[in-house]
Amino acid sequence: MFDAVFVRKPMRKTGFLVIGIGNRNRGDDAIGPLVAERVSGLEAMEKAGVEVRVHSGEGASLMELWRGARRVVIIDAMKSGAGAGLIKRFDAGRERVASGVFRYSSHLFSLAEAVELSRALGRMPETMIIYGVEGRNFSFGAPMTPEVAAALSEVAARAAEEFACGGMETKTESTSPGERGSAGDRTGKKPCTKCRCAKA
Amino acid sequence: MASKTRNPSAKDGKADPKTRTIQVDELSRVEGEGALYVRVRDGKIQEIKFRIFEPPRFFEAFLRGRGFMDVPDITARICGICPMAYLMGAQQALERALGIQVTGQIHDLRRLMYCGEWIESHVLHAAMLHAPDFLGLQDILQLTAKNPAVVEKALRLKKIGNDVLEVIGGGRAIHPINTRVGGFYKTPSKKAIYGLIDDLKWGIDASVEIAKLFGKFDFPDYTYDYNSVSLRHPERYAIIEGDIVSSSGIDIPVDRFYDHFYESHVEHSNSLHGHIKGDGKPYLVGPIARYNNNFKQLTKLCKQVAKEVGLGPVVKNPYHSILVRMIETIYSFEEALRLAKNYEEPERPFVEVKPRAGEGVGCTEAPRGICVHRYKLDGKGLVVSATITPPTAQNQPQIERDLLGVVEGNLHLDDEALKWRCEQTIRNYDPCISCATHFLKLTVARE
Repeated sequence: MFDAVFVRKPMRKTGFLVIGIGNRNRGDDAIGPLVAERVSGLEAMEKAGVEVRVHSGEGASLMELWRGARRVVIIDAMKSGAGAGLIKRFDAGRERVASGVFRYSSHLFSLAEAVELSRALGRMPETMIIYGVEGRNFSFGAPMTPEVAAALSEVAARAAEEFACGGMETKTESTSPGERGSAGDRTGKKPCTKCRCAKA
Repeated sequence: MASKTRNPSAKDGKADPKTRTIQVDELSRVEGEGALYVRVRDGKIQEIKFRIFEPPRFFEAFLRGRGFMDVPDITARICGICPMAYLMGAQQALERALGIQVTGQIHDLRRLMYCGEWIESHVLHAAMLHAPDFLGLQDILQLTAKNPAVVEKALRLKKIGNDVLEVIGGGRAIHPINTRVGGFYKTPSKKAIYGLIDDLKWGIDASVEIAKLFGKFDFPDYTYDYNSVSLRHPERYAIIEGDIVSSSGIDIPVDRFYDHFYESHVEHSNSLHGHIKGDGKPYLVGPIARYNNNFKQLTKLCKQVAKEVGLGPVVKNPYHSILVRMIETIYSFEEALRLAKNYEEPERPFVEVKPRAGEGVGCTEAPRGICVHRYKLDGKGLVVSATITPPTAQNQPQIERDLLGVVEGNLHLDDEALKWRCEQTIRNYDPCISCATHFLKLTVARE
């Protein structure tokens, strides 16, 4: 019981993961954690076995977090020069994530580098969708810009929709036996017709 | 990295051919926001300013009036890379103010945890952020394309460092939640610590391999006779305790730090600059300073690898910092292994503390150098005053001095090559700019 405090909680067997990236205390950077919070309260997510995590955005530990995951949905604030509150969906499995769009300033490398490094090292999850929400104000202690706050509900709904098939319709042909999920997850799959994973 | 060239003396849109300014809008792979300005006239440097414009966060001010138990968890937020320096420095200072001493397994667990921080911080910087500079590569992605095996190894090494922090720190490597004034809220089981042993053994061999690989780099030819300032402990390579020593002869207990050292404000930076009283010259803190002052206390393996990669007992070339970081990484793995093997669960996870009036200074070796904390408490244990001196503030004058020497010796380089060299030089220090008060702007004005 005690050791459970010290050992990182293993990811759920489904390998479904939502990551909200950001800092709640830096204005619009809070959108990732807030969407994660909203999504984690949804019954459908619990039913589908989706793990929800909040993360600082540090690349190396992000790579560790999504290692072994099958389907990952990430929400992060972005700064691309577009209007505040703009929601952009990236299919990271199919397109390169541009460096410098997702905001993270540190010794560390960011989400974009973590995605590309994972790709170079063959560590990408089967599906990775990133929702970027354009932010305007990232100051310490600043409130969220109204346009960004207004995007919260839509991003949360779209993030949840990524798992609407209950996670049973992911591309399972590349899953090696015993590596991910249960045997039940890997059998009898048909292309999903209910959620965005089918469009990926 | 965005950059542009402009002419500061251009009038009416016409450029003066004698002067030029080179500007790099962002310096990547460092922590924080800052800028470098260099003005050159007739081939001589007139002015050099390493600016930190990261906004001050006023930690020292808002700690006033807080209870002593709140302090370490607040100061830990100063940095996400080396929270241990801010947790433990504060804890030690407060423990001194409160008149308690932490010994035995609790002390050893703290040292083990700090080894974890050195590992994750050093490996990240040396292998993933600094190494590309020596290979003419832009970033870790290019390094991965060239040598994926090294990057895989570095990622695993860093993860082991984080694992050490998580196992002891309550499941979090960044801003651990399990440490407190007097020790820990809960101590990990023997099984949990022993679970680290195989990875720590692997880490020794892997870090030796990476150190030897880096030893083959082509290092820029620049040396400086540094006044190295670090902790020194009579028994072991100093990490979490010791006296403060310098190569210029200072040898003082940590509580006398502010008798000999001070910080000053300069107009061009939001970070204070560290100085030695009555000296006025810059001094060096960090891996090279520790190595120079405490080389004898490194392990046989560390000394052997140091010799193999071309390091003597005193390092004067700042670019060798990448090698010293790897030597310290080897040491951290060896030391962590020793401590893990010897771990027994203590009877109590912390030493009891009662509030009282007092003053105390604490100092640990953050990966970037000594990090000093001083607190004054009232009779209820509330903070009356707080002073925190981070390593990058202390190194800032030395960074400017190194840049002066490097630019002076490389004025023959074209603007792009010179910018590259300046950035590489700043990264020698793995500067933690946000701690010292994120992106760096480099301007070279040639007149």
